[in-house]
Amino acid sequence: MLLISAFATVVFHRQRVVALLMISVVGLMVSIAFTRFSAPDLALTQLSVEVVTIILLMLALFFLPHKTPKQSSPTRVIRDIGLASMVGVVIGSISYAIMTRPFNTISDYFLANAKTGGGGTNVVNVILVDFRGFDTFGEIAVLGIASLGIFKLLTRIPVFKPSSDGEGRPWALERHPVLLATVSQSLLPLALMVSVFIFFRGHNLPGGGFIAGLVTAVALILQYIAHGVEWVKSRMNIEYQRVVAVGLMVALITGVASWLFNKPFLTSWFDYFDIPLLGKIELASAIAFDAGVYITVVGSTLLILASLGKMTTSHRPVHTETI
Amino acid sequence: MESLLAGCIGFLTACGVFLLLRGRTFPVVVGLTMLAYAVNLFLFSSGRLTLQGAAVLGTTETYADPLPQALVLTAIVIGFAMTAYLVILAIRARADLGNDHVDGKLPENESSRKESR
Amino acid sequence: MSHLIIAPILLPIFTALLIMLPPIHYSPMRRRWVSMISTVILLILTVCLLWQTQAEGISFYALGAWQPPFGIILVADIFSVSMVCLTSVLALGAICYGSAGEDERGSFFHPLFQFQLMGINGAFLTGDLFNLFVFFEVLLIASYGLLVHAGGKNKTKAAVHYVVLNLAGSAVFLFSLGILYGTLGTLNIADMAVQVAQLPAENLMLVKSGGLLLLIVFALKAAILPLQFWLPATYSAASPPVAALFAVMTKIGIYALLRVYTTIFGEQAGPLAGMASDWLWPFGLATIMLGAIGVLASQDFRKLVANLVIISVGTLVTLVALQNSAATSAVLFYTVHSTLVCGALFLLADLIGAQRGKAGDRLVPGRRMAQPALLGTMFVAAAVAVAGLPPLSGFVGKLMILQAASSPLQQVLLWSVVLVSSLMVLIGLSRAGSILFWRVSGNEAGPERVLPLQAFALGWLLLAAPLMVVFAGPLTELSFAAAEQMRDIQGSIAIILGDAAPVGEQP
Repeated sequence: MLLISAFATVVFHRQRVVALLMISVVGLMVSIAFTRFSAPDLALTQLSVEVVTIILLMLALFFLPHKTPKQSSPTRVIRDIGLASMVGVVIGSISYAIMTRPFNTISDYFLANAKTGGGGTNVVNVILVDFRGFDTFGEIAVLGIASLGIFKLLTRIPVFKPSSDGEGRPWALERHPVLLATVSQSLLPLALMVSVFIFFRGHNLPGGGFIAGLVTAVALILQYIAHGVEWVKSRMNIEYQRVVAVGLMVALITGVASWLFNKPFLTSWFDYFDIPLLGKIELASAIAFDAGVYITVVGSTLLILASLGKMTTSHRPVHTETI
Repeated sequence: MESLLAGCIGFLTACGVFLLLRGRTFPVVVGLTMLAYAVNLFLFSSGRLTLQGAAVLGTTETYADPLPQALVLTAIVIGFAMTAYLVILAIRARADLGNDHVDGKLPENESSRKESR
Repeated sequence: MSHLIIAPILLPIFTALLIMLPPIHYSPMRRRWVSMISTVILLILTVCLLWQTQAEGISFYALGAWQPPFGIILVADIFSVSMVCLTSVLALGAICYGSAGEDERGSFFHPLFQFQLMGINGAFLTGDLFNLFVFFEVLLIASYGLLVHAGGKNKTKAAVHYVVLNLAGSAVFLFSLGILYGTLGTLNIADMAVQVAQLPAENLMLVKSGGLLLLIVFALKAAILPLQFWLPATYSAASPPVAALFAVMTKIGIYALLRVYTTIFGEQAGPLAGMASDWLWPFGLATIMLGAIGVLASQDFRKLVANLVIISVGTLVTLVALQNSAATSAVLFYTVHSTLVCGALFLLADLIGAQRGKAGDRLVPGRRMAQPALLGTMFVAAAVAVAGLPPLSGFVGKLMILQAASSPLQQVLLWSVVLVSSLMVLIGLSRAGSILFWRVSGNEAGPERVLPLQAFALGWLLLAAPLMVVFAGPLTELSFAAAEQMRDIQGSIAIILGDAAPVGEQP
């Protein structure tokens, strides 16, 4: 299935929408592979990233031609196929060679210390927020910077407005589908609850700040798709770059806070409290760090998609009276 | 099992590289996405394959190697950020340069074909 | 517990976030001042760190208190800290120049600039290969943002190439990380060195392929011969303070090469020892020649400077390939010199271009400059330094390079290539200088003047050239100490891993 869809992507790469569908199938297959090989966290992340990527590419296709003209000469295609399959064979055989050899790793240490040292049973998540929290810190910084860079790219873009798709059909004139609007509105609180749930179970079971952030972001993006930019903006007027900054700041302060206890940056701390009615709960500094991740992810994803979407709607033929 | 996954990784890589060598921005983006899948699977497989061994303590006897999983998570996120930037850059390039060719100009034969029409 | 080591990473990101938040975000002047003051503090902190490292030797900082090889560590040795210091000196010049007006030509200049500093410093300090990847990405994504600053067709076009190439590079980096982790079972650079030494024979080829893939990645970042084509277009398209900061970016590739191939694949690595040298030596020499030809062929001054960067990269790569202490110390000295002077030249190119009206920095006759004396002096100083003539720093650098070659064959090759390329640079620069300053048409000078802040920035960077000669003694001593420290792999492993049991014996 993976192979077929990947192959189809290549074959149809000139029909861009079809290629997009195919690549999303590839992504799904990859996440199924992760599930099969005992990596539920990865599967969840791959899935949610997949959704956002596809939304992004769909929006992008609005501005790019829908078909790629045929231009490579046959010799070049053959040369490229040769080159590509050579690389593929080399990488495939290296990976086979690696997978079939025994090896020792430092991972046993992580398995042994996740509960006692990091306070969580989901080892992957504990590695992310604790053992290798600094990587995650860099990673959300990358996401934040990317959203800034994208905002920067889109601020002074020369206006051009495709009024029809590749085959000359005009874009739908209806502003926003009613059905989608109703459904998405009632879905929003549900999605937010799911994301809170995913967030809190992350330390012990598959989940975590990143996935929760993406779920929230997708739920909010759905509002944009269903109701349009103006509608959302009138209800929720936040500058997303500030959200990004706040999220990164939360993560940074969580890290620096350990200096007060004379520990290195990002040293985690956790303890169990007995609270009446709720029972025994765990409080960990890793949760604050994860909250920083969550906020940054929501902020940057929305900054990226909303600023692209804003361009899309403001240049739609329906709205052109101002231009 | 190993050989199947290795074959998939190799094939994905080959497809990614092939699309990467196309001249237009969109296939290049798709190619890079494909390459990113291949890389993620590859990095993941470097921790060896385990069935039924999710790295959540107390659920199973043998655990999958959690470290590559964490690395792949980081790599997925970074890859997403980079892809997003490239996509927007492609749009910007089309707006600034008037076409979606990677080099910013149409190859010789095609532009001449256009003129002759 | 001293937190000084991590300060060069946290201070820039803190500043960047501060600039993005309300009280500072709305006023351009506040943004500038916060950014500049923070860079000054960064400089002071890094100098303190250098001083401390020199006095106390290698130290490391275990993030989250997880001891190596399990957690991520930052390593401060003289070499890495010197590079961080160099970055902050360069950054101060670039940020001052940018604050003279360039920063308002697009959004988020200062935050992106600070993020980039964070990435660069992190890449220099980290002692973990995957963390190195993360910081590479931080500095790359920030550089993508900065590259398109102030917009324009050229920038967009250069950016598309640059981004696609670097994305492919990142994929290769991850492949090689997968191979190395899959065979060595660790990510800590020092621990990898230990594991390579005990490598079973059947894994040799795998590790070697991983190492070679890594070589491709770093060669791309450093712009070594077959992978250098992106550099002139990118650097000459970028806005001047950004280009000046980019002058240190190629050096990160060189630094990573040096770090990985002297530590992981160093003398202890048995059959894999020095595996990169055979590749780096010829390609390094060829890169120098290509850069020199590029200098002669350049049609505008910025392209010329970009080709000077390529020459410096080639020189450094050749030195890395030599793998001896003299060469390593020459790497440090020459990196500092060439980075600062090239950074200054990018700024100078912009100033000259601004005063020549329409002709800009193209090498054609143009309008008379308003301040030929000031710019001319700076031009001569920078040219003398970069071509390696006495009495400025380039000369000392050249001497150290020429002394580094050990065998007679290497000597002949290195000497001839370096000297011929210097000659070509000299010719190229004198041609450029005479066209820019003497071939003027018309007597009317334009209204543009050099702003005080711009002059300060340029002077600050150029000051390095004479100062490095005045303090040549202590500086060469420092670079020799750095080289000895870097090549003493067993010593650094002992400090970093301590008595930690080898990985396989963990419970």
